[in-house]
Parts: sequence; C-alpha cells; structure tokens
Amino acid sequence: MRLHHLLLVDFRTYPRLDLALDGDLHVFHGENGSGKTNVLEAIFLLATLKSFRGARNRELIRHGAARSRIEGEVSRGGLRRTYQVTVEGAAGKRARIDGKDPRGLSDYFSGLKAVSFTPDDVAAVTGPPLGRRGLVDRGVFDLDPDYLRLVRAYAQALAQRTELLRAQRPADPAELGVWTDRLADLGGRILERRLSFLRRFTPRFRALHAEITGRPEGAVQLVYRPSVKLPVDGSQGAASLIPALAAGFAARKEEERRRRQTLIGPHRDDLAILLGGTDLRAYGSRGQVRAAALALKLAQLLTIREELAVRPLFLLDDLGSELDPERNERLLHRLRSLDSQVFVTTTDLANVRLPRSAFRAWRVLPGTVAGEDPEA
Amino acid sequence: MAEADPIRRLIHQLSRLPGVGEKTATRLAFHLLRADRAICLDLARALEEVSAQVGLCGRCANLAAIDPCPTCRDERRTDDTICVVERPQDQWALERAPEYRGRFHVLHGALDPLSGIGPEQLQIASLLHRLAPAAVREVILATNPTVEGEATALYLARLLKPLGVKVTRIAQGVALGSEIEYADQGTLSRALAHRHDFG
Repeated sequence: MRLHHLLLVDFRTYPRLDLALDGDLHVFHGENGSGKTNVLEAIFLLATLKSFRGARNRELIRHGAARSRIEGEVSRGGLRRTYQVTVEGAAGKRARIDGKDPRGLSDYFSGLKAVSFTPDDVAAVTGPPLGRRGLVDRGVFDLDPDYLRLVRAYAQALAQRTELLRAQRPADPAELGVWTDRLADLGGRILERRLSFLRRFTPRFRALHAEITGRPEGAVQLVYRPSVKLPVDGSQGAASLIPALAAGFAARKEEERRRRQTLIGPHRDDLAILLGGTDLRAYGSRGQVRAAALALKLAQLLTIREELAVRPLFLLDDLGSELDPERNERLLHRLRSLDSQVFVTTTDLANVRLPRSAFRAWRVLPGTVAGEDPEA
Repeated sequence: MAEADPIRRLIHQLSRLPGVGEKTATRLAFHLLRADRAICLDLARALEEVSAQVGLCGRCANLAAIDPCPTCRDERRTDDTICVVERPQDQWALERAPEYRGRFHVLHGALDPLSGIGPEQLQIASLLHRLAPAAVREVILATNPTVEGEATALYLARLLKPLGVKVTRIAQGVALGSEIEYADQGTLSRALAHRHDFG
C-alpha cells in the first residue's frame, strides 16, 4: 500500500498543502512548532479517523475556517482510490472513498492501514493502563474494524450500569442484574478478542524486542492482567469468559454498591510488560522503555502485514528524540526490509543516517512544506 | 414570553419540532401563509383533534383516538400472543407484516438509566396486568437490538418467564435483500448464533 498524493485544506496550520509523495521514505524536517507532526497526524487521521494526539475536531480545523479536508490517493494491489475525510466542528467527521459514502466500517478501514510511533507511544509503556489497553484494542481493530461496534456497545452498557450504581434511588436488583449481565456478555466478548489477539501478537513482539535490543528472546514478556480471575482451565473463549466476569461481579457486588463504580471488566484490565521478570512500568530505564515501545509498534505493523497481507504505512514522529543514532539507523533499515512506506519527522536531517538518494526530504516551515532536491 | 406577531409565533412553534431548525421553520411558515387557506385550517384542525382525542390505549398503551384502540378491538387478531415494542412507530412497522395476527404492547421506551428511565417509567405494569387472565401463551420481545433494547428484553424475559408464559425474541441477522458479503461481523455472528433447522 502506497500513499501517492496528500492534499490538506484548512487542516491545522495549513490553508492548503498539496504533496506528491512518490517514494518509500519521506522525511519532514523543521524546527519544533513548525507543523511537521501535522502532516503525519493527517495521514493517520485518513487511515483511522482519529488523531494520534487525541485532538478534538475543532483543533484540527485551521483558525477561521469552517471545516478542514484531508484527501489521499492510495494504491493497493494495483487499485487506486481516493480517501477523503472532512472535519467539521459540531457535525463531526465524514469519510468518503472515491467520492462515495463507505458501506460500513470495514469498507472504509480495510483499504488503508497506518501504524504510528510517537513519543506518546513511549509514554504509554509507563503511563496509566488506559494507554496499554488502547494498544491492544487498536491491534484488534486493525484486523477487524467491526470490533469498534463491540467496544462502543460495551462503553454504553458500562455508562448505563455505572449510572444505576451512582443514582440515589435504591436500585431495583432485577434492573441492576440485567445491566450486569449485559456488561458481562459484551465484556466477555471483548476479552476473548483481546486474548486471541495477544496470543498471536506476543511471539512477534518478543522476537522484535530481541532483535532491537540484542537480548535473548526470553527476556521480555507480555502479560495480560485481567480485573477478574480467568477460568483455571485456560479456556479463553467467550463461553467461559462471560461466566467468569459474571462471577466476578457477584463477588464484588457489595463493594461496587458502596463505591458506586463498576470495578471489574475489560475497562479495568492492564497489560504488563516484564523485562527479566520485573515490570517495565515501575523499573524500566529510559532506553528499555523506548525499546519496548518500538517493539510493540513494529509487532503491530508485522501483525497487520502477516494477517491481512498488506503493508501498512508507518508514521514515525520525532525521530532522534527517542532512540540513539545507531538504533535509528537500524530501525530505518528494518522498515525498508518490511517494504512499508515510511513517513518520518525530525528536527535535524542528520538523524537520518542513510544515503541522501534513499529518501525524499521535505523542509517544513510554519504553514508550508517544500520538497528538497537530493543534490541540495 | 409569547410572541405577539402570529407569524413569528408559528415559526417559533415549528422550530421546536425535531429535525426542524429556524430556517426550515421559516420556510414552512411562509409556505403555509402562501398556500390555500383550507390547507392551513385543515392542519390546525388535525393538530387540535390529535391533542384533544389521542391518548394511550388502556390495554396496549399505544397511541389512539379511541380506547381500546382499533388494533385491540380487531376481532381477527388473537389474544394468545403479545408482541412487545419500544415505541408506537415500531408497532406501525410491525403491523405491515401480515403474518402476525396477535396483539401488541407499547413500552414507550427502553431501560436507560442515563436518561432516568427504569422499569417504573415504562409500560411494564400494564403488560403484567394483561397477562393475569392467562389467555396469553406467548410474549414476543421486539425491542431494538441496541444496548438499551437488549437490556430491556432481558429484563422482561426474567420477569415474564416465571409466570409460565412462553417468551421469544425476534430473530436478528442478515437483512432480506442484502448480501452476506456486506454484513458486518456482529450481524453475521448473530445470524449464525440464531440459525435454525432448514429443509
């Protein structure tokens, strides 16, 4: 999969930006605050309809404009299609392919895949569990966009049940019971999808981590930490996970009533990354954390590549800030070996230790992006 | 404060309708003003009659001008089955399926704690009342396949089953005339889970 052309209209700081992106490696360089990350954010938004910076719609629209538009010409398997996203403040986002409304979630999200690696991904390794759960959910969603429906239904049922626990009126036990069982049902199905994904993802992560760090493959472990005890027989199908969640709710009934919160379920789970048996979150050095974050992202790329037989775009934000020059060089070579089209931002072109003919450089100044000749 | 100008008052009232903004309300108001006087008066009469005469049917809780409503009076319908729906418009839709010859019951919503709707706010007591004479053998739960509709169906099933009545849920799966290729995974999972013997 290749992005051949990117058009931004009233997106962030750009009134209009029109880039012909032929080539496999693009480096956007400029000072901090020049807007180079905006280009990567736009590509990610085109592929996922989300900002990797968690920006609100309003922030994506250039000051003074009513809406912003991102358009990308993407080829995959010899087929060229134009992906278009318009962002309006209140009306939200609207996605189209070749000018037509997509038929459903899968129709839009299956054709364009992007994996990002930003300083936020490094922060997620040591941050609150939300970021690590997000990593797993993003991985499941990459392979099956309809997972989003399940996640949304769970969030809705969770909000309803929690409201019932919070309400001052004495909760009807039958009414609360219904919401508890709906939550266990949806939660069990989420858990099944997450665990199944991790079974396939973890070996790739461990191999990549060994490759990045030079440590033996057994050094790193990925452990899903559920908020309830999972079935002892190791069965990880929804048929046994749903009763496990229901049993967890039954066991903590009184505590939930007292604290007026939903205390168990996929929204309370965590993913622990262990290095030599100790949790990176608590004990990881800066370098260890960065290496783990990178291995997670490359494993995400590899999972999409192997299971969907597509080569996702890879968006590498702020090269140079997270890894040392040698690791940067190895990373860029590794990405080339995976044949993904790569988009990099950096403050200093010297961070890219490749022959000048191996990439296309773009000079970023506030509001504009200019291509540079290899000879320049 | 009420507007003195009748045109402005009409625009204001129209703009309170769902899906009608200030612009559309203005357009509708001027259309009525330019139209035949009879159209205006017919509309006014229809609105007046609706507000004066339409109320809840004492049996099925549907909206009707007479009590019991025409569907509850219909002698070609049988009393042994009740199909439970969330809203009157759901019943209107189901009445288009001629195979179903039983009765209906309208809940007027679904369980929705975030909107302050619990069992007490729904027409559940009136449903239980209808089951008391034991003529009803089956209750079909036709609430929407949303998070709230599913919770409501589950709540009713648990309430009704101990009474000895058969409780069923409408089937969910691939829509007629659509193609499996285009169905989402959730729909297909349901369609597979609710498969039945065939041939």
